[in-house]
Amino acid sequence: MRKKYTRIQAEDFRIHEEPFYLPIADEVELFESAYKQHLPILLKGPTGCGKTRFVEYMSWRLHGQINDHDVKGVPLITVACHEDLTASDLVGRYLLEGETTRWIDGPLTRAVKSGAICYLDEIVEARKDTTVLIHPLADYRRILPIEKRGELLEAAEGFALVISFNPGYQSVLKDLKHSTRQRFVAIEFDYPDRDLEARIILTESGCDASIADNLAKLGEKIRHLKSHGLSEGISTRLLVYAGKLIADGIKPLRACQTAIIWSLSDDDEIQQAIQAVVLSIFEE
Amino acid sequence: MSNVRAQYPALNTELLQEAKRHGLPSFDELSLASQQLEKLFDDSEFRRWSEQSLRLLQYTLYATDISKAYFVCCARLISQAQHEVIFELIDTIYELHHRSPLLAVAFMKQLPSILEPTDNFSTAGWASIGLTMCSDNWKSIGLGQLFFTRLSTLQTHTDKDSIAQLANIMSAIAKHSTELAGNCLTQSVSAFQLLDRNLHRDFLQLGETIVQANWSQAWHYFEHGPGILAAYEGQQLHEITNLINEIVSLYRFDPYRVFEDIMEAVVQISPAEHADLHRQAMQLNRIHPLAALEFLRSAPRVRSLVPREAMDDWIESALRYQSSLKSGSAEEPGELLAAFFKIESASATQALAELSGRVDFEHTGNLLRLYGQALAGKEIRVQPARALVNRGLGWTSAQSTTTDGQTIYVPQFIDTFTDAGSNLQAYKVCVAHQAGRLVFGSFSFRYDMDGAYLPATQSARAAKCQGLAEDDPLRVIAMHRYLDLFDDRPLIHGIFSLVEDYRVNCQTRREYPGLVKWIDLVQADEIRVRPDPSGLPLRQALVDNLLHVSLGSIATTRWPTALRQLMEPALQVLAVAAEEAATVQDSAEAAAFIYDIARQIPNVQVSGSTLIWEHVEACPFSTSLVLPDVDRLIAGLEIGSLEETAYENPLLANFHGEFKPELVQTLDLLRNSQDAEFLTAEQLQELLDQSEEVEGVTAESIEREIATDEPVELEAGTVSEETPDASEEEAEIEDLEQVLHWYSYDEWNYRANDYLKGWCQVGERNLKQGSEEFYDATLKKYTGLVAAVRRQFELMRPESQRILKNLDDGPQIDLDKATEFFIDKKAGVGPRARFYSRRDKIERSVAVAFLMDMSGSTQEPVRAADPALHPGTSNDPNELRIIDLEKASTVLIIEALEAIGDSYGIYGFSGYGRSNVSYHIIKEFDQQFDIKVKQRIDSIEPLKSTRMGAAIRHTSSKLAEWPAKVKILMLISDGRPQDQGYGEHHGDHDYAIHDTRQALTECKQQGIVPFLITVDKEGQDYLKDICKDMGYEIVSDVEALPQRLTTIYRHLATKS
Repeated sequence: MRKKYTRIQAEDFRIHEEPFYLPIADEVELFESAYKQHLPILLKGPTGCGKTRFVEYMSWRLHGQINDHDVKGVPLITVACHEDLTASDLVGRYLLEGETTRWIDGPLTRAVKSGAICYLDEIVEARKDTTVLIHPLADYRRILPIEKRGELLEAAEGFALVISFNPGYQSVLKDLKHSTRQRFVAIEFDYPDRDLEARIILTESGCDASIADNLAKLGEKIRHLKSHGLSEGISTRLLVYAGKLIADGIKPLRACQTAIIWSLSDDDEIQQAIQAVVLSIFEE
Repeated sequence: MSNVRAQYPALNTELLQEAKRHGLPSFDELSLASQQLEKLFDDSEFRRWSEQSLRLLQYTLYATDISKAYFVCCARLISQAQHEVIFELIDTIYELHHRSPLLAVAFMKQLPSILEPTDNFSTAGWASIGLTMCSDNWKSIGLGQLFFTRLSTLQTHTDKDSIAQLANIMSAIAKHSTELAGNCLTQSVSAFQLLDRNLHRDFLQLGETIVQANWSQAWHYFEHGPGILAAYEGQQLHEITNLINEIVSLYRFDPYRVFEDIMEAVVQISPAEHADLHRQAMQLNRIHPLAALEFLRSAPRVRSLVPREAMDDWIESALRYQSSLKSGSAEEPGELLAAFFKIESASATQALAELSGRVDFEHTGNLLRLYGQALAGKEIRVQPARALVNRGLGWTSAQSTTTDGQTIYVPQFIDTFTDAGSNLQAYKVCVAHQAGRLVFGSFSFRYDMDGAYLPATQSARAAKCQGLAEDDPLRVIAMHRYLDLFDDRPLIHGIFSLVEDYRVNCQTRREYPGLVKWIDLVQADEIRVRPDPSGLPLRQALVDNLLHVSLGSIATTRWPTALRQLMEPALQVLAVAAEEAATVQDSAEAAAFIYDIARQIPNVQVSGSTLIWEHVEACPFSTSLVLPDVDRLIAGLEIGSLEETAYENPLLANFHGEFKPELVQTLDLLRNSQDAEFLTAEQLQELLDQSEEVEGVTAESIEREIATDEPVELEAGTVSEETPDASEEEAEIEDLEQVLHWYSYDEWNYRANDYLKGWCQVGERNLKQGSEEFYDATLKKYTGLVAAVRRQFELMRPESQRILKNLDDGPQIDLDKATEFFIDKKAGVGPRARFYSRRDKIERSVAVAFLMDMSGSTQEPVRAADPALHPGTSNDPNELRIIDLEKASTVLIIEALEAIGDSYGIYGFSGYGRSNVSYHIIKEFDQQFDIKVKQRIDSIEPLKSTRMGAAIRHTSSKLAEWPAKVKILMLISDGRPQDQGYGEHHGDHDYAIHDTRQALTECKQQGIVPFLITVDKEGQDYLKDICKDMGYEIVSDVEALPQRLTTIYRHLATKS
């Protein structure tokens, strides 16, 4: 039966099933400790290395950390930041309703009220005047001023501010302000090593173990090309995509072409080089 | 008859008396002639002859040689020629005698031999041929004399017409050098001998053309030409001669060069293919002779790349290319074809690549570099092996693959297989194996460390042999210490290399399953060319068999059945290399075990004996290794009486290439050691002398290598095959300014309508630093102007537009904001009504590169000027040079740009030839303006030529990388682009102009605004061709350059 859509209030979104996540180092313990002590968290790492998955996993795992034991896990509110993101978009705004108006909370406000994890993905994409909005939330005060309503919200127990950014491809113009970054504990992420990545690919894509091994090997080799024509290494996500295509019967070379080679670069030479590596690893 | 006889004595007496009266010494000749003539002459004829003879005697008087020769000649002629010939002869003699008696004598001596009874060619005719080369000087007379002397020989080998033509050629040469003419004349005899008679006319025809164009080439032609031409058939040579003549008349090329080029090309191709080659050339000749010429010139190169049958396809592809361009190109079809056959253009190279299976590093270098980088992981370079051989570090093979631990070296090309796809795979196999050596730790051997399977025995071995002393500094090099444990260093080195390469090979196969098929193919090819082990001496056969096994070819092994017990343990231990967890330590132990067996086997040739040789059986790896009793087994063979031969290691597989772990470890240690002196030069030399891996390498060359460990890296293009050669003067400059990087750029050949791939090498360096006084003095000199320029620049409005939102007031309303505001207002919360927006020019993002012509011509004085007004100028204080104004302009523009804050780079260029375009950095974009920049400006000096295209391309590649919205390239020059080889021939300006134009067009395509400024008053002629739709300005008042430059920039930056 086809899955029907479900409507959930943003603050009710919880991860009920344990997401698949393999810790690379001690990031789980670090996160837990920071969460416990109300420290905001900055996740740094290249694209597709598992930052979002980690946050999901942690929101599930932190079940039990808060008083609300009835529901599994901490709610998770994710905001993908972009350069037109305004303070109202985060905090909330009045909406017209007939002849009157009604206030509607923005995602950040909802998170503060409901004690959710608010995950601001790619925070550097947001404009700097928006970014400063989170400052009072990100220190000992844990308050959110709502200017339009003349209110100050103190964050509920369980609220945590998590932001992420990828230092790799950000230009100098888009670096995070020091006043912002120095409010967070930073957890650095990198791609998992070959064996770990093979396990991730195996689980996520459902392909054979040998295919997963080879894809992880391919990932490792392609990452050697970073700063030799590739500005970013290949994400685990893309390797998983390739694994899924292969598991579904697509030939490895073709799967790697569509999921990896063409996604990574438009440069003919780089494409050829990656293809040569693919052909060395996978038998035609 | 009686009447005659009655008269005869009287006549004879009269003659003799007369002769006596003149004291003629040679009665014999006269009487002999008389006797001969009286038999055949009638009375009147004899009388007539007597009178002629007496007149001659009287005329020549004491020049008795002449009369003597005359009588001899007459006596011989009477029997073979018509009588009238003898009477005609006398006039010829007088004529020749008039020029020189020697000429006459030489002529008469040869005449009887050359006149034939049926010959209607007169004596006068022959004489006049000889006389053509005689002028008034005595040297030319000598030449004529030589000609007559050789005449009969010449006539034996060729016909009269050819001789006449030869004489014409000689007379042409003699106008410049009679000696050369004489030599050529002598040489021509053997030429005629060598060549078929039907080739003589064409041989001479070509000779005439060559001599007319350049007489000094005559000797080369007469000496070498016949040998080369002898291979031709008559009709072919005739056509080739016509081809050369046509080309020479059309293009005024040096005919000898053309001839030599064609012939050199032809001799490189097998004679069996000459007819085809000629047919193909003539097919092209019908379209255009130049096409035929270039086709022939490049034929050997093409033929080395493509099979014989594909030569017609090669022509076909040229014709296709030509017809595809015909409509769009202004060039003549012949020139297009010729350019194609030069194989410099991308289309030709590609066409050739398609026909040829060969894969060249030149074209795959970048791919292999990336591939190697991906596989090896660490910073790695991939270069052709030649680059390593040239470094003199002990690597000797330019056509095999290897690694020095930092770079993977591969052959210049691979043509093992017939198709390009397989050859590319073979390249990948080479790179993968070398990357394997790096990744799987071939160079990280550690002394006395256990392997994954085999425990280390090094300490035990060291206890038995002398080994290295405790305090020997060379102990730090683990590989050296290991190898030193064995008496027979070559043997252990050979075995270790074999085992370790086998291990790397097995690992590579496991890591890259997709490559296995290709490794198998390359290995099969490798095995194919190896000798049968049964033909080798015994110890060598053992090692060679192991190599066969390591290359996966059990079937080709051969080993005496009687000695199977020797081979089995060796194979058992070799198999450790195939185990997944095996390390280099295991390889070292396995090698040591095999060594122990091999060392005891006498290296004797037993192939002739009664031993049965069979292939060996594969043995799985086993840890229970027992050394066989070699002595007992060998004793059983009864080969004690045979003499041992010197042991030689088998050649390693070509795709494995040279393996030098000891040298690589040494280099690594030297590179990474903090203590520069941890090995003295003597110790290093000692190591090198002991090492198997190098021969004739000195400690000095190793130290030099370590000191200058900055390899030449080409970025935009490929690795250049030769390092650009520099003249002495250039070398001097390089001493001061070290080349930072070499870059390679294409050049546009408008005749071929295509790019010449990687044609120009641009060497980038920092300009040396002079004094900053020039800068300050210039500021002082142009005080007023500087201030004005700064003011103007500060006034320049920013160009780029950005929308400013959240404004209290403004020309536009932001609808989203306005809606939000009104809702908020309704809700009773009211922040300020900031819903206006404005498009504003607030960001200024302009980058400009100034490219200064530093060619020799900028040395030219502008005009006499007041030296006080022009500080820092040339040695002659009254001379202000163009370059000085360029420098002053730089100072001004820097002041202006610093005021406005635009990014800018300042560069100069010069150079000589395509392989050495020098590019000088005065200021880079990302460099702060500081005292160094000031000092560099002082060092801007006129150098050499102007290869604008390459310099523009390099500058635009810099600009392209710089993040700015508006990019401007300003080129400041003093004349037309010109350089050695920047055009087909000297004075060919079109080529340079087209290339420069193309480079500027590329600039535009990259979004860069090019602008040319020249101070050349004649600039109009070519600038309009170069720039057409691009900006340029001729600053006719040179001294106004600084001012104009800033003004132009201001306009450009505002407009763009």
